[in-house]
Amino acid sequence: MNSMKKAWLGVLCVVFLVGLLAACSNDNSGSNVNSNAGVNNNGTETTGNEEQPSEGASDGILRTGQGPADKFSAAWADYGGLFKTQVFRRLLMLDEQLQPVHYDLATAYTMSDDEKTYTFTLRDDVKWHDGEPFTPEDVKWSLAMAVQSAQINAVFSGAFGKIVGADALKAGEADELSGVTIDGNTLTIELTEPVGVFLLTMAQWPPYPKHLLESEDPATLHLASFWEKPIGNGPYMLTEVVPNNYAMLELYPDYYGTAPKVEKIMLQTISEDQLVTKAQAGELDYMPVMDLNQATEIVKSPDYEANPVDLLYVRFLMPNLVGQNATTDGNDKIADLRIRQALLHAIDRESLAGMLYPDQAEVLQTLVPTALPEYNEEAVVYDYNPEKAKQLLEEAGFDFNQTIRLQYYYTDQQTVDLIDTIKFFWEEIGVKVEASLMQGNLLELIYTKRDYDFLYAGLSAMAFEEAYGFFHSDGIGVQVVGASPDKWDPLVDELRRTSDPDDRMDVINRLQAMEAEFLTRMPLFSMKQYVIVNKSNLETAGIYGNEWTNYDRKLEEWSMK
Amino acid sequence: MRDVFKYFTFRFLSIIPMLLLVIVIIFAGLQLTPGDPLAYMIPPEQLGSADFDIEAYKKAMGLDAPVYIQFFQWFGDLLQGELGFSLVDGSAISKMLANRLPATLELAFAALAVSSVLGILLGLVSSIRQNSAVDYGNTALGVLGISVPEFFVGIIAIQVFAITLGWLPVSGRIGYGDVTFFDRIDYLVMPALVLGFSLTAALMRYTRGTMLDVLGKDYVKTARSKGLPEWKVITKHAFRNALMPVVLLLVFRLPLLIGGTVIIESVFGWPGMGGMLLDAVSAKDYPVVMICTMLVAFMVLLASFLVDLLTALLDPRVRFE
Repeated sequence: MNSMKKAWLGVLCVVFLVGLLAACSNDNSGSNVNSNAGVNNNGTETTGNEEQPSEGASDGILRTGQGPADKFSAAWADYGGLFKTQVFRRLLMLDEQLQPVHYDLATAYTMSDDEKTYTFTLRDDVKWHDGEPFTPEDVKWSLAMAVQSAQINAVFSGAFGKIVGADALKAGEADELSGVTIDGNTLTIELTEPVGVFLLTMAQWPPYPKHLLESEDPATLHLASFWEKPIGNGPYMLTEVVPNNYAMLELYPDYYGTAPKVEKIMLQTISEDQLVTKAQAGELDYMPVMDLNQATEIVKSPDYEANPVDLLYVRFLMPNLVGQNATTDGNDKIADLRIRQALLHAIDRESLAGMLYPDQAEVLQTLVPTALPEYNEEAVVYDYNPEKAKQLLEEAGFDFNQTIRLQYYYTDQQTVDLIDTIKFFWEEIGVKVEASLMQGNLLELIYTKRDYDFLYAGLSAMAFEEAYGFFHSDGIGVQVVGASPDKWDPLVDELRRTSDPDDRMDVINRLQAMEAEFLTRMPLFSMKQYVIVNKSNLETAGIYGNEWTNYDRKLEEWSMK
Repeated sequence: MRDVFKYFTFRFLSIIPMLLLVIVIIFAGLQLTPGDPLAYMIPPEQLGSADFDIEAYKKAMGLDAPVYIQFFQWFGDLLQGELGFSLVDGSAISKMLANRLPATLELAFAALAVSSVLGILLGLVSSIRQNSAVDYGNTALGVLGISVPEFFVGIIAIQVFAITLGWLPVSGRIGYGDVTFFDRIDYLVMPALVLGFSLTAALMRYTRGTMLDVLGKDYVKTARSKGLPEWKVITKHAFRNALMPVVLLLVFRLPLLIGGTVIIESVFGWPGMGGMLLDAVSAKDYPVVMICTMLVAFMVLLASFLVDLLTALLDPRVRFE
């Protein structure tokens, strides 16, 4: 029995050692699923490990974040960032202010007088990274998929929903978009009504390669295995993907435009809380940062500089005017406009911005940040005035025995401090407040359960259509602020179909005036984003915009030191 | 021989009903927890889209079926060898496991190796040199290892070795151009040592205690009275007998390390199973949670089986009959 036991023990030891060796052997995870091998435009195989530079600042590699998890996210919901803008291109290109239109995949475009027909002439020298040519058919097919897609930005879906034949396609009554026609290298798109942001949309929305995705279901297109190592048509192609670790972008030799000087970009998979340590160790060269504290910590190193960017990113208090139970006639506690006015007058937003978000936040008067040219200076301003707040509450017959429920879903310390301070301000005018963190399914909690009177929320919008579309009766906002089609719908519809800058400015002004008058959202702050650059490694063109959009960074001028 | 085989086969097969029970309990538990995977698929700022058809999306993802149908659909696929797909990003779970499991095993084995060698060695020394300066030093180290949280040790290690000295990378598992295990060992050093540190402390205290217990036994006194050299008494008579409970403790550590290294993975950006399981639970990504949990449960049951096996093999008092 003793020798048999020894034999069994021996077998166990061997199994354990084999397991140990298997675990520690080179699996180089990506090599099986997403191998280092790539295919260049000529169809010849390249290996990702031909050059093996060591980690460091002088290897000519631009290091940033946005690396892959098990796969990359698709590019129609979140469409910005270095990866998605350099691997996928759009028909048009905007500057960092998202204003003048340049050409990219298109060489020209025309718009009909009634603003319902757009004609794009596409380049004929564009190739996907697998060597296949990019054609107008890719755009037509992508538009049809986008119309049916479940995961797509609201501005894109709103604009494409106006293409002739979109309704029939969505209803399954047609196989393609009848409003999109191709003639040689010319693509014509007909709309049922003008869409003010159509050109902006075509500068943000990237077409996908039809030949690689046409067998996918539109509803699950964003989940396709294509996203493990996407094939695009931009200046950089993916040559190596190691899921949950990093991906390498290298210059695509057949890129139609000016080739960038930076030959390789390393997309590292890192969480937000690792940004600071990664930067302190010199392992990041370029990164967008939303948190001023992080930016401050990073720029303590003389190698880094922080470049503030103004963008449409706002924080506000959203009143629940519908109430918790949708069968009742609204939320009596805050239905009277004077109560909402009083509660906004009671908050010293200037002090809060200065104390909690120094140099990062500006007080907001409407959903349009005061720094933007579209801001309406004539809109009602609610300055800090606790006496007036008390007076308004008295006039409205506010019941001081009831409790106002204030909820928030951001978990950072600044938000916790902000909510505590708002609670303090409101209690100073005699209002009882119960503040709590909203946890769980935000979709259900915000729009269905609605167990709050005010919700502290944020919005990062690509366009005003997204910000104000919330109030339209076809938007989800009616579940919280209620439907008021006579007030909001005409103006929002007008904004959606207006493209003339002056006319748009006029509509946006009127929307702000209405917003400030009725306080269907109580504006608090607009926030800045920072683009952090490691100056000792990287020289950029000095152009910084909203990193989560597609804008012309002049990447061809960037160089590694 | 036949008895041994029969015994081990019976023990191994008894894992299956337990595994099934675990799966049913976990599925039921998940149904009772709040949350919806849709909330994690769509950014809150995007929820205001008028065109987002929630019902159509739920239907496409198979989330509109009754709970028991969802369970049986998934279980049927599993029996056919299909692990399914993540609800959140559509990745094949087999691929997700292929991406994550090697990282977890690598970290777990490295931490186990570090803690086993150091823990047993230091525990042995402490027991031999009881109440000496070495023993007190080791005790202090043990208290530190048990009481100081892993994340704190991790942060200090990053600050010192990655940022100040620049010897090791801050986070990640594989660097660009790393081909062999030894190319990327610099990524493994810190997480393995930090994870191993807390395990070492516990193992060291346990080894010390068991050794002291064994050193007081009659057969050790007998061995000494027979005039055997002290090293022989310690290695052949004391340590060998003290080893069994220590080995059992080590074996039971393995399943804990498969899914229980979330903190270390988070601090060092290590792409292992712990983080995957945590994300899946938060997103109510049923298929991923089920597979991960099944894997951890399987590891626990396997460890239990190994413990039985080792006990049977090491302990002369155990009879297979």
